[in-house]
Amino acid sequence: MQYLVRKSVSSDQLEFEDLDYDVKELSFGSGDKSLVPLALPNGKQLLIRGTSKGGASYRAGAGLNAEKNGKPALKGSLAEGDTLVVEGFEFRIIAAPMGFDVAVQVQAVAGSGGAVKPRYAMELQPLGLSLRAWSYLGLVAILLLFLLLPVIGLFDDDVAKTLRSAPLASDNSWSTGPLIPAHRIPAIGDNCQTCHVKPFQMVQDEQCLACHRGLTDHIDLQVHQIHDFAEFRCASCHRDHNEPAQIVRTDDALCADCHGRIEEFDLSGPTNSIAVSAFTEQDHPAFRYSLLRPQGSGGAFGWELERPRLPHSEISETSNLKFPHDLHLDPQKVQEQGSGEALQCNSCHQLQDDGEHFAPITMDKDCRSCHSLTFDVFEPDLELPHGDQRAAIVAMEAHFIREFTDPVLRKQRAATKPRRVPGKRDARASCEGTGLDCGRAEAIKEAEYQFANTGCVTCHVVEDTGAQDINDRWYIQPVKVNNDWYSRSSFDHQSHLALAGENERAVCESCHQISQSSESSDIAIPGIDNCLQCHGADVDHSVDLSCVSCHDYHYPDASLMAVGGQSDLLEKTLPPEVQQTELNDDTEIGAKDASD
Amino acid sequence: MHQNILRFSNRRYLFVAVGVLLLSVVLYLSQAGGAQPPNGGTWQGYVLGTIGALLIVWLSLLGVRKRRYSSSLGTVQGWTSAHVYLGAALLVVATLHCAAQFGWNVHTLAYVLMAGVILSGFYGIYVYLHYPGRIAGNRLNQPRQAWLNELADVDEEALSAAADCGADVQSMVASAIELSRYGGGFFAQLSGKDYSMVHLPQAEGGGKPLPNVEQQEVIKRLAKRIPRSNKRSEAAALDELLTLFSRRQTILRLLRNDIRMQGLVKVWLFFHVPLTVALLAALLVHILSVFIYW
Repeated sequence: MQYLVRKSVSSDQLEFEDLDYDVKELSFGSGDKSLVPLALPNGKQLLIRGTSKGGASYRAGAGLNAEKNGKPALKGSLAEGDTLVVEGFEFRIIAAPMGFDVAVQVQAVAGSGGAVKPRYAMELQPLGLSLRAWSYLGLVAILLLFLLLPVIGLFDDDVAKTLRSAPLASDNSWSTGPLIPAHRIPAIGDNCQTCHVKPFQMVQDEQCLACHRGLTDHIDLQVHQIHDFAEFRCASCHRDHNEPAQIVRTDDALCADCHGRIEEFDLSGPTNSIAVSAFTEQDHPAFRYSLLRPQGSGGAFGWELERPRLPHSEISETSNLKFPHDLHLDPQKVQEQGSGEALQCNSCHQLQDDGEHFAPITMDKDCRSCHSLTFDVFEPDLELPHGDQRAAIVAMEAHFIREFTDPVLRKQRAATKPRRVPGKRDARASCEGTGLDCGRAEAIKEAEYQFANTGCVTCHVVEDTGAQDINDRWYIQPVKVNNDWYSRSSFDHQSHLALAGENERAVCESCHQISQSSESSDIAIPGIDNCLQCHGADVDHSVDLSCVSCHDYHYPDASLMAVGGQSDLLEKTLPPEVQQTELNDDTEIGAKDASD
Repeated sequence: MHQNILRFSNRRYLFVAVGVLLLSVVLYLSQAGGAQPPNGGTWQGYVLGTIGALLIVWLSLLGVRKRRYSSSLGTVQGWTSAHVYLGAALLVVATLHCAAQFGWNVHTLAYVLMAGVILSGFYGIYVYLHYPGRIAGNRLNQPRQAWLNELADVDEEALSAAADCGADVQSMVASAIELSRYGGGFFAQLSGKDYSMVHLPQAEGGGKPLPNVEQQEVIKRLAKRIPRSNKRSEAAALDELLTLFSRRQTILRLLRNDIRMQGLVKVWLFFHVPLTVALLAALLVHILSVFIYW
């Protein structure tokens, strides 16, 4: 549309300037967007658009002072003869000359100064809205998005789910940091309220134990006052949402808070605890061996774990096994089968997958290849069963009775002269009695030899009861080889065996001085001094250890952690009618503890 | 008497701020080897957070205090000096509070808003310290209105001088005056760029307005026109117009500079104030949310 804009260019309003525009719509104003420059305030615009009938319509920006024919109106139509006054400028539609569709005459209203007055805004204003409006907008937006909506989600799961799945701020925006990877499973990672159940309440143990079942606590409730532990929640120590993630406490204060002043606690049972506050000679007591002590003569009534607080030099092992390490490690006397090399530690002691303990020593795996249980020189491949005295006697009886009863075998045996070895057994090649008598007599003779002279007695303590019955005559003391010398702590053999590939014995013997030990009662498990050489907190270039490097907070012989277990016990001080409601839970927990 | 607010009362609040910083650093370092890695949830973190929140609320109150003209609770100058130093300290206090752990959450939002407020404040300090002198120097120690008045006078003189010239010159002068630009929109004010135009008659190659940066287009055309003037009076008028437009160039440049610098002195508040209000909201959400999901 062709527009003619006729502007007054002199203060006496007698001179005009004609401007022509070929646009859809005229825009007057001081901003960059305005087509026709005019001193309208704050970059606001007046828009005039011609209509097909030769007239025009106008729109004035909000806040402008616009009057059509003396009446305020921000928008409307203009025809010839109408007068529109906007901020001191007068607009008229005049008859359009040839070639123009619409003609607009603009002049400053007399007295307002017009063209020579400041035409443009000179006071900086915030873009779009006032400062106050921007402030309120930010305030409301943040409160709405980050507080109101997530709070509604607290009370309505559907809202919470919708918010979390939409690109909107949900309670996820309240997260103070990433969960540990194990906690990022959908059930936890996608729903804050799995753990944060009640607003303004710390995460309770119930939520942890819902998944972490069967965990043992730190204490045996028979020994400790439950009140000492009442203030601790799982989350007192296990804090998630941290960077770097540290779900398990490793600081010494975890233990030293109580164990540093253990004497202040009222312990009702025999604990024999000594204060410990750090891993130094002064702050940590000497290690206590965990010893398996035979009960009754030779362990006849089983074994019991003891942890005596005694100097190691005063303690000996009581496994009932006869085993001289020095002899077995002397290459002149014992060699590896096949290679003929000296035995290595791992010839018998094989590290298990836990990296700490060694596979139990067994006769079949570790001894039999040298210490075979042959019992008949005529049949050197035949061996006695191990670990069952009665079965061994029966095996001998059965074997010899069969040999002396079967005429063919008896004949073969009589014909074969056994090779005599000085000091070794004197097997009878022939016998004159019945097969039963001869076989039984040979069996008794061989049994005496096995139990009292060689065979069993080589490694076992065998007692001669003097009984007539061959089955009751000997009592072999059971063997129990200790496999966990420090049951209350852990030790990673794997990481300490870094150089074992080169010279295993030297690496093992740097801690376990065993090659001079001639008695199985010797103990070659090192004490605290050995560890302190590298790990003492007060040693130069120390490889520092925290308490939890060796000790676990949750240990196996403590009471089970139970939902509400601690509070149940605390509530026993409540009136009986309140206790009654809790009893069911208590008995259940008690039963669990007993079975543990 | 003008006094630099940074030097108020022998930098009393600088020492207060340094004290707050030292306390914060000691608190932060005392978390080493603790039960948790340093964060806002340790007792030290809570203390740092409380210090930070109180600082934020108090710093925001400057906006209230400076409007209470009758208040005798310290001078506004003292408040501003403390506002600057403690505001700067807040950046460190808050960083130690959160142990520089950031994420896509409302807590980091609060931090970012706070950092935005403080950084805009740093800019504010810079312009408050440096711009008043520059602005006065630019205006040659006259108020802006004096320059506007002079421009109006020059414009009047130019229009009347143009009356003695041909219609094309009259039109050009009127248009150049009409289309001379200073101030205007937000970015035009802050950039100080000259958007002046001149609308020439079709015969002069016009039709569309031409850029008239620094009035150069008009000055060039007036200078060219002098040798071609029809009569002596027109040559004299053109000569006068040349002088007047050179003056306009100076005044317009000065005005644009003035508007630009005044804008720069003011613009940081457009961020500082709304961000502060948003920060107060985010701070409230931050505190509530960590205790809702304790």
